[in-house]
Amino acid sequence: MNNRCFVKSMAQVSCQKPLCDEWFDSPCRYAESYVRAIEPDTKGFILPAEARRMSKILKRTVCTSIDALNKSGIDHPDAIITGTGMGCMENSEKFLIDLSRYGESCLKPTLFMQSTHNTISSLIAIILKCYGYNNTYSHKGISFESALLDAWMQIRSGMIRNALIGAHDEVTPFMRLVMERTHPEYSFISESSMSAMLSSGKDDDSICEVEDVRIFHRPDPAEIASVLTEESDEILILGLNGNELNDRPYAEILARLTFPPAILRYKHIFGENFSSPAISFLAGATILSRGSVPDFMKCNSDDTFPVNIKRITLINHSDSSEWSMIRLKSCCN
Amino acid sequence: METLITNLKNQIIEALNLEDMTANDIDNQAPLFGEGLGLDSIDALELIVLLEREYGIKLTNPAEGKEIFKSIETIADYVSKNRKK
Repeated sequence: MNNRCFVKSMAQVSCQKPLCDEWFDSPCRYAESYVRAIEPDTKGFILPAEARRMSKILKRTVCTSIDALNKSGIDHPDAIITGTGMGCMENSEKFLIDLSRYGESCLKPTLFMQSTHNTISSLIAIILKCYGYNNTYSHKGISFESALLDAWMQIRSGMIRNALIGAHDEVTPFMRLVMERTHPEYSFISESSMSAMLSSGKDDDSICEVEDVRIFHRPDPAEIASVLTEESDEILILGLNGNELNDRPYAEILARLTFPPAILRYKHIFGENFSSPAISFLAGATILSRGSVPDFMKCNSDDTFPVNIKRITLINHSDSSEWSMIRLKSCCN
Repeated sequence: METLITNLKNQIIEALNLEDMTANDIDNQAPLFGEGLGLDSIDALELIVLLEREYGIKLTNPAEGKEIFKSIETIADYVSKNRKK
């Protein structure tokens, strides 16, 4: 594992203005508890004849993937690895409604083909004509981290030179009703797609380095606290959302730290879904790239934030049982 | 027949998600596949499902489909002669 892994480019579609960093300077704010993503303009990314068969999540995925690829200057990535908690929910719902209404003998082929989780990675591969390693992780709230860990290990070990990674989830109105019952700890539900190009090569355009990726299954808070150090983890982006059920596990980790880190949050701006950790990755990498922290993300006073930002550590949990720690490092230091 | 043709056009636009198209944009005699609307093999499967759902017609012979799906007019002609509902 001698190689290093750098983020070359990123793109997002969410409830913030799509395919740009405008959220960093002037974020859209919402009073509702459920907001759908702002759809990107697909012109320039998808031919109209191709778009007519794609559901919203597929269009968002293709737009963020191609945008990230274009910015990176890499036409054909060695691997395409994505995460999705629920996959193509809109098509799945339509397919199941048809199944109950018409029975098994009269189902629409497009919905059948495009209702599975791995539709996302495979569609990107078909459009880009990339026939290398292709994988989809569907592990609820740690789907993105699973995809990132796969790409990170392959790049670090020299198996691949670069990878297009991402995490994509749509939340339909029906899915929202289900999530409100199954995840009472969510306070602001929304949708997100995030794609990023990772590469073993560092250049002038590199955004940051992915220094460490770890996934924990039912860890003791002390186990996560033990991997955080004052030198490496002075700024933490946590998956806080203001709900006691969700936030208490983070407090238990913070209580075990021997140093006072600066804390940032992001879910009040981007909302929450199974792919939210990918948005924390985008936020952390953007902060490192710009060298400043937007005030609306800060949970504590300005004087706790270092002037020279060297690293940002992302910590997220899913149902308090699956945890992840991603450490991003600035390319400027 | 005119009503059937209009219904068929609207059903095809909805089933194939032909955004930005109206029934008036589809020529009754124009070929549906290759040129004309430029439909493909997956669209052919969608049309087979549409005929079964809306008109109770089951197409079991693929060769038959090639003739039936030539144009809106040929579909309407086949449907009017074979519809079960």
